[in-house]
Amino acid sequence: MKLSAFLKDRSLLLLLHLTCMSLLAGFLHITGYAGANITLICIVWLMILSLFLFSFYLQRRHYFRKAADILDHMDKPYLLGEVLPASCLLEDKLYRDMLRRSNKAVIEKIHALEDAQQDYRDYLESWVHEIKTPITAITLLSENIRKTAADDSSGSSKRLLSDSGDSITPAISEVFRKISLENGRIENYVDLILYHARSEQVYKDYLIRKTDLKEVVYEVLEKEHLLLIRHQVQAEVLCGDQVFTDKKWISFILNQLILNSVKYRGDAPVLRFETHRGKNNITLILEDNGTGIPAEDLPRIFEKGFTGSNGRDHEKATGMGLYLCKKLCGRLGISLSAQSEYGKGTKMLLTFPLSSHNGPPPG
Amino acid sequence: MPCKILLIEDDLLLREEIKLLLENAGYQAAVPDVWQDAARTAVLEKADLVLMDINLPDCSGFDLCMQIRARTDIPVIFLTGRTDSLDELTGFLKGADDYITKPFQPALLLARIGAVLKRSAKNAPSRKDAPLTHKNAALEPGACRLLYQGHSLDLTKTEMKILHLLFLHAGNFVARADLMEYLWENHIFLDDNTLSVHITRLREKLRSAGLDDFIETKRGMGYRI
Repeated sequence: MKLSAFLKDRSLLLLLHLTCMSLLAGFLHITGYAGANITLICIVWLMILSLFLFSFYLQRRHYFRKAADILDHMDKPYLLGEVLPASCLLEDKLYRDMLRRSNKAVIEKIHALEDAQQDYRDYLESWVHEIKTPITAITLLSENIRKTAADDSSGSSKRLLSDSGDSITPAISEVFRKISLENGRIENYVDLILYHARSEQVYKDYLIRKTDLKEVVYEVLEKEHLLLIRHQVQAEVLCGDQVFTDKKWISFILNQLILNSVKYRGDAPVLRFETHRGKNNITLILEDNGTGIPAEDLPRIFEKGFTGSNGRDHEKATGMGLYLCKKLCGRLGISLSAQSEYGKGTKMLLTFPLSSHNGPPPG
Repeated sequence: MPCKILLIEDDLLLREEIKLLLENAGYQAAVPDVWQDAARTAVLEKADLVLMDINLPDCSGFDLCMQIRARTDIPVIFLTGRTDSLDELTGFLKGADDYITKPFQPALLLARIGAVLKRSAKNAPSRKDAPLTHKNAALEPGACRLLYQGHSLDLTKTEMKILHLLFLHAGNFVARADLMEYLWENHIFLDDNTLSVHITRLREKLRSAGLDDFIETKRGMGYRI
């Protein structure tokens, strides 16, 4: 609050005083007062006025500085009405009251939105849990038909057999394999929405435990084996390290990375999983020999909704997968980065920080 | 005597399919229609393991698990769509031995059941390691070798697994695709061409031991021994 601005604000009051002063001076002059006396009266008047205005200015400045300071340091600025410094001025009281009422309305609205969002998330979570039962049933149904047919063609599973009655035909087996594959895609989409909902949440839902990276990689490869076999992918796993992290989240992240590698594969695709132990971290590297990422796209691949030239050239990309991976990694304290040479392949690096709890230092 | 598994799952189709999966893997499965008394049933049925869902109508799997724990130390595995970490933690705190989330890979479920049974010192069906014989050739999965007329062939892990599946279906054709899937399930992640290379090498190895044309190929059908 500048003094000039304050005075400008009080210009009417100043005008009033000056008018009164000149009227008084004129009146005194007519009634025959000496000029020196009139000047003295006016000077005293002006002094009293300036003293009053200046102290009022200081008081106001102090009040607003304090209020601004409070506002700057609040983490919920919309609660300002509750914490404004006390003031004995009527206007301040009125404004404060209005501010309070307005804030209250905002807070109520925020609460309503938060509740609605929480309800929505809860519903989404339970929906996801529900839909997993039929997905599992479909997986098992088609696997059972294929496996039992393969396992004992003379045995118990005669529920879907060819006319000769001894075994299902390769064609039927292929149909069920395709059903399993599509079912796997559904599962992946369901996971995407679940983890998206979770990534927004500020709290919980991870369980940090000692995790064998090899085991996680094996599990994910096993989960996607139909897809990988279909696309003639080979995989090499050279992971010998254990880290402290949440297994489910890492599985999800790895799964997304693998799906990307399959989506942007080249000829004779090979996936390599490797761990490297650094001084105070462990890096899991997923390397593929796919199409790679153009240099100009590389810095942006983790952005939300970014599809890049690869995404546009290939199957429809949503630009959500890597964004989610990055976000989840951030929540877990893992750094995720990519190196790529266009036309040669891509390396995705997951770096897990090591603490002294992870066992003895290397060497 | 096969291990008996008590399956507590409310979804009818899923229940049937899991039962089939377990039976095909050599277990005996009991599927009660009411669960409130699961603890008593488990004891009466002399189950070796309980496999159960958490979200059950009228009752919670967590409570059932606690009741079971109060009476006996039969291992319990939760099988659920709830992927929340807190649920998982609760599951373990209630005394479960494992927690598997849906959807799961059938092979994974069987592996985890096997692991839990092993820990509880019950024997899972051990058809995996028993020696298999066909046409005078004996495959010893544990030792990774094939015995034939005094010859002893050392096999690589991949060759072992290929032969293992063929021995399990001796006399029947095994589709290439099934063979690939079996290998992937056993953590051998190769592609079609590499599989051909392995088969060729395996044939040569067998021939050196006097087993000519041991593995038969039929176009469109797959391999047979």
